[in-house]
Amino acid sequence: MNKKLEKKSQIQMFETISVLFIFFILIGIGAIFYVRVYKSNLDITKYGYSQSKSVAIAQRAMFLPELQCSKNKITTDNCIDLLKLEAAISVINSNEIHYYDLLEFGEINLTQVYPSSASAPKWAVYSRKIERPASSFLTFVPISLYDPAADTYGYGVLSIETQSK
Amino acid sequence: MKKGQMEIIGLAIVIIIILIGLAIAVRFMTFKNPENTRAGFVSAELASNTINTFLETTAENCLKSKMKDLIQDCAEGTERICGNGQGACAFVRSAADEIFTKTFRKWKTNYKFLIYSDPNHPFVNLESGCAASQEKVSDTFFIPVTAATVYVKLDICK
Repeated sequence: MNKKLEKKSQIQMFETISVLFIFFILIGIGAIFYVRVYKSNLDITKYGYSQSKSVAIAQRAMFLPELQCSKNKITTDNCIDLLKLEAAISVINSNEIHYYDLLEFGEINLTQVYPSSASAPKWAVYSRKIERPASSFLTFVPISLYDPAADTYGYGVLSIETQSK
Repeated sequence: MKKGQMEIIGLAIVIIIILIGLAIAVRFMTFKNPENTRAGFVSAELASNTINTFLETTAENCLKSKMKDLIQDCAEGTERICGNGQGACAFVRSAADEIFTKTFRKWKTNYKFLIYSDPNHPFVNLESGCAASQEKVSDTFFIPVTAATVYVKLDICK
């Protein structure tokens, strides 16, 4: 009689343990799924934020007063003064922290496309790159290159690369 | 197998199918493709800046004329001859082609660039693989000339 009872209670114990085991497996699967969905949504949000930041930095670079053309204190949009540019490059290089606050990680280069010459002039305006960025965006902005000495406008391309960790 | 056991296995299969269905539904509802908010801004900015910059560019060896002056001459038929012997229309066409070859073609971006008063007879028509059905970002600038308006239009195909 006692042995029979023992066997029955053992079976019941085994049943309870099995049910609990399956229950925890289901909870585990649910948790893994939830974390994956959450992580994916987080990545999407982060990617969107990086894109917005990239646009903001590109606009900041396009309208840097250190580079913009101006006449009688009136600035011209979409134009870089080549004389200012030469001076600005040395100012940017000697004030890295200030420009990092504005432009963060990335690189800004300027290339003259027209008029063409044997060696297409290229200027490295800003560079502070990281080795393995989480995201990197490259934006090309066509921009006028004003040469105040000759009073001519060339066609240039500002390439703005923004990176995020 | 007893009838009771069969029923339990059936129930288990139904539950598993429901769980898989739910997982797939949740996956499709929550895993959204990341929106490319930047692409819209970049294309619009690119189209607008390209035309604006091109029109303001000083033509090489052409008495410091800007491209927009040459376009006006081309539309009015006065045909200013530049240093290399080209007329205004030909000069604008070759300058635009040179610039777009070094920019859009290099970036593998398809485009369509038109300068016209009458859309059926454009002064300049440069194109690189832009299908009519393709989604595009366009910008148009207007240049007034005597008794007409010249349209400078750039389509950037996505």
